[in-house]
Amino acid sequence: MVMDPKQGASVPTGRTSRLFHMGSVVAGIAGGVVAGGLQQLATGQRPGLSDLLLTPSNALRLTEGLSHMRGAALKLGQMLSMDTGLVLSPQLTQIFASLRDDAKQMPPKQLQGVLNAEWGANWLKQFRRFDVQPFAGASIGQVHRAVTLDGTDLAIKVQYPGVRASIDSDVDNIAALIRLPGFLPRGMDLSPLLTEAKRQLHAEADYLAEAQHLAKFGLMLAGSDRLVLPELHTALCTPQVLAMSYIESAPLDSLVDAPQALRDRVAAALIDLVLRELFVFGAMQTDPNPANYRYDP
Amino acid sequence: MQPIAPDLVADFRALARVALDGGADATREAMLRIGYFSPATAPHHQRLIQSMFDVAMTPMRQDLPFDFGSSDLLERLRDVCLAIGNDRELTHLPPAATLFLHRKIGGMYLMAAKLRRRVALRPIVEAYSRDTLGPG
Repeated sequence: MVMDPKQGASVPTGRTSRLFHMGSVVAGIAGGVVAGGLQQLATGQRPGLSDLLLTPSNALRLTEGLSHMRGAALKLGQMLSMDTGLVLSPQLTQIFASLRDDAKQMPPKQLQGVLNAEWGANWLKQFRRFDVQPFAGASIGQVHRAVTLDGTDLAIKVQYPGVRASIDSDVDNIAALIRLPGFLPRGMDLSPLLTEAKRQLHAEADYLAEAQHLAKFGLMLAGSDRLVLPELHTALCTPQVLAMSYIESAPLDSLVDAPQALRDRVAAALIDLVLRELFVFGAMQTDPNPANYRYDP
Repeated sequence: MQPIAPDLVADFRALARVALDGGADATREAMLRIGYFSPATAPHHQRLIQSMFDVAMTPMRQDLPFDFGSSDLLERLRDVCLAIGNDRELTHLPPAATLFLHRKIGGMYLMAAKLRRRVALRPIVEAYSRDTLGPG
């Protein structure tokens, strides 16, 4: 049997446990910088700070530390475009890719605790089937598939406990890391960006507001013959749970070898959507991670 | 999901229009208005940031379909981005409310490149930048 290292570790909820964790990551990297720098100096090389920060062992330490504050880390990474591979070194891009893809899962007991609190203790009786194993990760939660007693197929997004309470401190902790020398030019004022990151994270952690956005987008795209949005299942929505219809679909990557005409059509639909969000809706889904767009053959 | 303030939408529409037909001066004006640089930003930094915009707008400046699959657009974009990112003197950040938009467009470029897509972008952007209701 193979043990999955993602299993079992609870998502840390306490502010102090996260703080402690981040503190040790920053200190660990700073320590690594000093040690590595001395070593290179001793061998007659003059290292650049950004080289030092991104040694493989630092990259590993960084990934491990950030995964405990995944939501805030992903948001700041997104805002600085650290994650698209357009701006940063392949190594840092890799860190963000692994953050995005390797979410820690809530163990079943923790999941049950959240759902008990949100839906009441007897919630399982409403379902014919509820997959305890999530089929997808979200930046601050995970998505489960379930079928209600009347046969409705649902995708249920459940937020990690404690996310909202720690947004501000998570962002500040990650800012402390980005402010380590070597990452950003001296004198760059990050504070407007941090304020905006916190505001966006608080807004996104309110799943009832997200539910309203989904309904609004659903109305705006109702006439589209190319785009489908999941429908809201309002009865099961709470501030920490977003319930919507499950749509069978394939990742966009599955189209890589599809005929040119099909690839062109899918890409055109997505480009058209971006322009419509910007110029017509005046509202935008802000995460272009390909996992957020899927293909329904 | 993030709302985009109506003023910012109007500024982006103006920017899209200069992206299609504007000269360097009009582009600089529109970028200044949104805050990609400030009047205090050093002229050579302003030019650097404007050159990144010019590279990003390449697909919109031709009538022929742009072939994302065989273009070196992403490499060129990465080169300008790195030049900006590595310039220790350049401390200006664009307004926080615009950052997600760049990323979204960057994400769409990556997607288009991955799907090796051929597309005439100009007519689509033209429709959205002129008509407040978009096509159709």
